[in-house]
Amino acid sequence: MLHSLAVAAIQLVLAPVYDGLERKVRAAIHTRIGPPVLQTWYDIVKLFSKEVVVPVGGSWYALVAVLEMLTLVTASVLLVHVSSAGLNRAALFEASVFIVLTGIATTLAVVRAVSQSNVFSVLGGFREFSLMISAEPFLATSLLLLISGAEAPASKAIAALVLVIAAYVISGRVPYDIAEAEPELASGVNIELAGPLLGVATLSVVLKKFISATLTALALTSWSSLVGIASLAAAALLTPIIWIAHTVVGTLLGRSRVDLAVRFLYTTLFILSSMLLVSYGLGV
Amino acid sequence: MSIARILEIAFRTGRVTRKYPHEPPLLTPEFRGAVRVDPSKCWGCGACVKICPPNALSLRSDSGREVVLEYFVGRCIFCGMCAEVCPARAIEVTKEFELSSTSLESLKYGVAHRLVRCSSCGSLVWTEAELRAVIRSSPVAEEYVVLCPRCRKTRFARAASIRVGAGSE
Amino acid sequence: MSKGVEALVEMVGKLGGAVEDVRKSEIYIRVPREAVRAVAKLLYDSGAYLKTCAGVDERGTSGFYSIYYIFGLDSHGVDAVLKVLVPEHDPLIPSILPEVPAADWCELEIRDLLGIELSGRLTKRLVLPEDWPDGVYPLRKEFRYDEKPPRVVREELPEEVGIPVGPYHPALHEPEYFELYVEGEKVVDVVYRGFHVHRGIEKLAESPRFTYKQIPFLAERICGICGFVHSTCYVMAVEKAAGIGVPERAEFIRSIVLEVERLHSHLLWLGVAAHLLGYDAGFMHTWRIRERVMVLAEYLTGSRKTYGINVVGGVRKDLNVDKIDKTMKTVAQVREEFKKLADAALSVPQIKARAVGTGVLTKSEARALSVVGPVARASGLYRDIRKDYPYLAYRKVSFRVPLYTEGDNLARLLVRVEEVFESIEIIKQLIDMLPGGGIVSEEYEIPPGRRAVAAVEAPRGEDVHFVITGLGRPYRWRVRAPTYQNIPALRAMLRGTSLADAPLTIASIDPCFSCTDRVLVVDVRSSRRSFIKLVRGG
Ligand code: SF4
Ligand code: SF4
Repeated sequence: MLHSLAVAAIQLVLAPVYDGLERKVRAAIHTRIGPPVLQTWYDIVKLFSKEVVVPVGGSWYALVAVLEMLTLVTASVLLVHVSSAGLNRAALFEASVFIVLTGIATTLAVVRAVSQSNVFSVLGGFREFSLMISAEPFLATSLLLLISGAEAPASKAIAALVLVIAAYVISGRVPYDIAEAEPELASGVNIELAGPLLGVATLSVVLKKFISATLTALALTSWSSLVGIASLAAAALLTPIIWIAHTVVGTLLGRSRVDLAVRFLYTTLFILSSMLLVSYGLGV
Repeated sequence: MSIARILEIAFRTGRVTRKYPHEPPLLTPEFRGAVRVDPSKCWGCGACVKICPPNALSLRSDSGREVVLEYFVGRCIFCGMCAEVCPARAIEVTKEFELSSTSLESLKYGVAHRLVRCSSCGSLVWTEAELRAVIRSSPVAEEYVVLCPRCRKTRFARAASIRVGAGSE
Repeated sequence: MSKGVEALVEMVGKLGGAVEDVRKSEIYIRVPREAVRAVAKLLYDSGAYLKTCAGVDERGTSGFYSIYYIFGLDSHGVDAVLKVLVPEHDPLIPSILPEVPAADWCELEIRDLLGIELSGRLTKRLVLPEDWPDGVYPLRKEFRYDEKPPRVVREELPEEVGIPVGPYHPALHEPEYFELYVEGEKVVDVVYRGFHVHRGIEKLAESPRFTYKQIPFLAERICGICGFVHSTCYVMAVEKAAGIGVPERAEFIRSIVLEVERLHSHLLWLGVAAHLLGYDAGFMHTWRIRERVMVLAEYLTGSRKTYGINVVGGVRKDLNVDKIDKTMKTVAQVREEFKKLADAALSVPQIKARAVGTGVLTKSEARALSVVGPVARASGLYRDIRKDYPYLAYRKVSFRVPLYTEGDNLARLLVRVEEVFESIEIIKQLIDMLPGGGIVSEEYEIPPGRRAVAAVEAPRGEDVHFVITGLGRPYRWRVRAPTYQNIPALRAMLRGTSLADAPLTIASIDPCFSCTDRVLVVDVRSSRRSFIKLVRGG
């Protein structure tokens, strides 16, 4: 546990740097110079140095934003711990708690957004909710299946694939950045945030990307038999690589529309999950 | 995967943005920036003031003894029409465009001209510089040049009538 | 006059119209006030479209207010300009709106600015701000251009409901306001409120502050993107009215620069469209390519934008061997790079998925609203001023007019993509045929009392300038920018689309709000209301 805590701490400090790397890579694909690699950290530090603006919704609203971020931190630490077990049945409990926590975090985000009187925020909240129900159940099933020993190669491969797709969705990148969609909703769920609270929200965004990359790393290493430090190190090394891969995918695509996104995800993930259940049942 | 072709395009193109202002700006030889009035050449004739579309150039006369040709960069649209019409070629179109400033006054440039009195009726008509330029460019007798147009007309008429002979009227 | 036009004019004559003047591309017809609606119906039903209408205070010369209706008989390449006299003591005209839906805005504008009432339609204030006093009509000649009437405080502010898009919104780059009424994510109705950025240039141009020579620079500032279109249209109108011959080389240079402007404008729009669809890579690369066009424009004219080379009688900057060389190189490069980029961008699944079938404008709606430019061409109307009323050097080049019938966002996008390539071909042909000679004729006179309509195909559609000459400056200068014609179509396009597609749909007409709002001096600060106050929609 101590190992995973230490690794998690380092990873969390590095996550905004990975985000800075993401901005650099995206800029390169745009043929731009782009901001410095530490820019996300600079942004966060700067936001925290601003005065606190309590949103119209009242101070409980601020509390929800902070709670959401802390939930995500806890979820991240748990996930790092799960990866140290090398997708082993031993981590089943932690994985379950992780799933519950991500669900809670998303719920908090939705509640926070929907309770605002700002229409953009409300719509963003509904969009977030639609995405949540179309990705998180599949994320949960595939992760739990992988951990609880989907040994047969076909089941394992399909479960890993479902996990990779669902993980990408929760990273909040294009085409699934619809809850914030700048040109349509002017930041949507985050429109009412400013100063340190926006800093908190920025951290949440980065944490979701981190969770997404780590989950993908888990899915990819599900074939290896690494455990403990080795497994931790593998995941830690893979995280930035996957992060960049996610970046490239996001840069090549456009933004989806909420109905299109939900339909696409549901059909794809549903078909894959049905295949998964069949193959699992058949034991292949 | 034609969507991935953008990667190839980006790789071939490299980086196009620049660290302006740390790198020089990209200007073509035709670029029109702010204008500069050469005080040693300007006559204060006001032709540029008349053509300037946004009133960036103006002629002020505060004291009555002087006129000031004022150029306010803040209004200038960099059209260069003033340079085209200036009879003294006193206006140069520069390539300057980094003109922001924190003080309004630093965006104004003035060329002051002393006015000359008509030697006959005493009204203020010409600027000194204009007078010099006229003398230089055309061999008008100096006694006419220092007159305002009205006095000049009467004097000329009188002189002419003397020469032709008073009886012809 | 062709046979078809002759027959039409004859029918107008039966309704009481009297031909005043026949020119190469305009026929001026005096129509009695009572007959105007019937004549408008006749023309509209025969396939004409309404370019615009304009009120003029001619009490000083004829003793009447005059209302001009400019109908485009584009299949004949002729405009029918109807003139209706309105006596001072009875300022009323019958509205032609029931017959010609496209007359909505220009009629209200006449009512606002000239104080001429309309019968047979609902009226409301369109152009003047809330706090403008009643009974003060700025386009009447007794109103001084720099007059500031006292503000009137009015009690009721309009109630705000629905999803506000504007006056400041990331998808709009100008202060404009759309109120979208939604059910869930579906737009059920739209209210547009514009004219926040009036600058009063029509009035300014007829004031002693300006002269014929200076107005091209003012006209160029009507639009921040296609300003050259406006200065060209203005000088063309004045030249046409006064019968000023322009050297052929100048006409070629104007045409080349107009196409360069179209290139940069279309590339700008395509980049913005990519951005609105979340495809920022497409945005950045389109603008990277566009930058070459901007640099070229600066090299050809002296400025990246607001080129400032149009004067009455010709142009101020000539082309030389270096410039021709650079032009050819640049357009070749742009062609190659844009081809590759367009292939990549159009294969992004979200772009197709979100542009297909959204923001549909049917052909009959397009015709009824007299829309222009890519919006018309994407809805199956073959309407391009460069072909219909060949001006400058366009009669000498061959090019294709892209036409789509779907009327959706994708169609409008593809029209613009194809026009980029067509513009490049036009530029190449013009350079190949560039004649020698001078570039400006300095000797001319502009007698007062002459009239002319000039039209230029701007990147966003047809731009129309109507000029009546005066002493030293126009007596009346009416500008009708393309967006003025296209915004009313947004209502039809937005209804039923999803909220997510609203920004793209609004953008798909390539709106230029300052172009539209050019009419009157309005203090933006005092007329601002708090639009940010929100009530939950749907
Ligand atoms: S001399 Fe030239 S610069 Fe001086 S006032 Fe006359 S036009 Fe202007
Ligand atoms: S460049 Fe144009 S705007 Fe500037 S001062 Fe000269 S005439 Fe006026």
